[in-house]
Amino acid sequence: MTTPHDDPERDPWLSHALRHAPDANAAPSPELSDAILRSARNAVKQKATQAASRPEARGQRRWMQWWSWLARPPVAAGFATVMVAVLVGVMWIDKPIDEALPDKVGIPAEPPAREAAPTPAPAPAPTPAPAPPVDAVQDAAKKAAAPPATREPEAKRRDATPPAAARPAPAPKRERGAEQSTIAAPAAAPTPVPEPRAPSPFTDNTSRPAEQPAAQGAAPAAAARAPAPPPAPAAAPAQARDEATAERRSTTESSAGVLAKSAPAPNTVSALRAQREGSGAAPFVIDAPERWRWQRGGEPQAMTPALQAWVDQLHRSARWRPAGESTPTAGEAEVLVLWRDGAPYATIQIGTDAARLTLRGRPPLTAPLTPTTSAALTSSLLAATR
Amino acid sequence: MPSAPDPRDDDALMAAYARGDAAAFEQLYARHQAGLYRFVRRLLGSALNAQTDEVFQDTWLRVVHARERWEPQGATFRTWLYTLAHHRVIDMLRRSGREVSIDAHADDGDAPWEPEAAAAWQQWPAPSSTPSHTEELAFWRRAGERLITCLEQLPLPQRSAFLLHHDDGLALDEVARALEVGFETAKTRLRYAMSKLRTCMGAHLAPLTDAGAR
Repeated sequence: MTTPHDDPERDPWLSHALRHAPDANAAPSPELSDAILRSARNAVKQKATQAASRPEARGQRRWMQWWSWLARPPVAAGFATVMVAVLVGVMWIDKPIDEALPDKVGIPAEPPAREAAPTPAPAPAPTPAPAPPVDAVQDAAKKAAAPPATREPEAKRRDATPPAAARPAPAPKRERGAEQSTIAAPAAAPTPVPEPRAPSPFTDNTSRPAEQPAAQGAAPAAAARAPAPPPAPAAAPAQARDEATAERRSTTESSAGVLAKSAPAPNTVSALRAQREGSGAAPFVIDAPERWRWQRGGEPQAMTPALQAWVDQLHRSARWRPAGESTPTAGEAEVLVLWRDGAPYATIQIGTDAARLTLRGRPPLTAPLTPTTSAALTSSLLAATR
Repeated sequence: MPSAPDPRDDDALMAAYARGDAAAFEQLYARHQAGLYRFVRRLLGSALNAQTDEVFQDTWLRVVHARERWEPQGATFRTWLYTLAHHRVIDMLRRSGREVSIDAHADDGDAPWEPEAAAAWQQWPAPSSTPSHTEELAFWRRAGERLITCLEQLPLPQRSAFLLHHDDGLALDEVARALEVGFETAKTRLRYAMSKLRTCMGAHLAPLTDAGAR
């Protein structure tokens, strides 16, 4: 800013002369002034008109800006990825993950177990397992004891939650193994026809969908007695998957840890094989032979492979169901007591028309036998316990 | 000389016009149209008087078009208005083929001319708002004619500095801002312009001074 001292004074004579100059009163013509003022007014009117249509133009401009931004390759690639992810997510919504996964049935889960079957377990389990099959059987019994009305929502809940979440505290390694087995299960399962089965305490946890075709042969009599209605067709895959998962879990738990998992014992493998072949549920599994003894009249003796094979044969032949007091074993029966961890665990009676199994602390089970089967089991038992 | 309007009022009016108030522009126009027209006319000179209307109109239309961008950043509306007019005049002079000297002191000597104590122009009658008699009025009218002639002999930068300072009443810092030069440059241009005009006016009006003194 200038101060009055910096600002030179105006020359009064020059200023006076300037005021008396001929053009001192020059001014624009009225036409020129009108033209200028009209232009100014028109500009304001145009602005008002543009302001009226501004929201539309602004929205169009923003849309164009957004579109041009989206057309950039990195943005377009990211957007396409998100869209594909959303599409896939929508396609798989409300569907179980196992069905949505790629078809891995081309690599069946069974062959390794079957290949390992002939080879005996080289080493015993390092630590004794706290009778996991009993837990599994108890869980199955609880579920079987529940009324049908409660079982169906339970199945739906299992469908909604992943199988691993339903377990108490599964180790990640076992969980992965269980998932692998469940992946293979649905492909082998004949999903269209869910077969009503007897309310065995073991079928819910230990039977597999793969055994259903074989079970169909023995189903009519059991279906007639089955109090539970057949499950809905849509729930069949989920139920089959859940059963397979439970079976795998009980198998892995009963094989006494990682070692047994990597090299399953013959009895475990054979029991699994028996189940897969549709011979019915195995109420118990001889997981660690060193923990088991057998007794027929005399002193308890160490478990032998032959007797293990006989137990497998029994499981294959019998379809266990709860036995009331009014269904005793007919005729003269062969009795076998299996000891586990130094205490009687299972009592097996082979009669001429049925087999009876009493597990420690559990209600007795029975399975109808044909005379031929009964004779075969009896002879095999005599040979194994000779 | 037109009275200097309140710059705040000008700024407020321009802001109102930028918001769509056409009446505000009319007030601005009424305030500055005469002074701006004279400024343009005298800058262009007699040779380009015919283009005065064009430059004047173009200047105001630029105000209209630039209304939304206008911001009072230190300069008043009036300073900005004269800056626009000055640019338009330069453009017109260049278009007409005239050489526009950027250096205002190209043909000047080392120092501006300073009036001597016995200079003839100092014998002129004292300037007053109302000439006392007809001869005096005639003298000043002739002096005005002569001043316009002398103005046309000045370089454009000195001419614009003198007109803005003496005719339009801008302070020297406003003159510098309007011409987009430094303060000292504007001051020097003004001193050169006044010196030359005094010389030019004194040399021609001396005989009349004697007559007027009688």
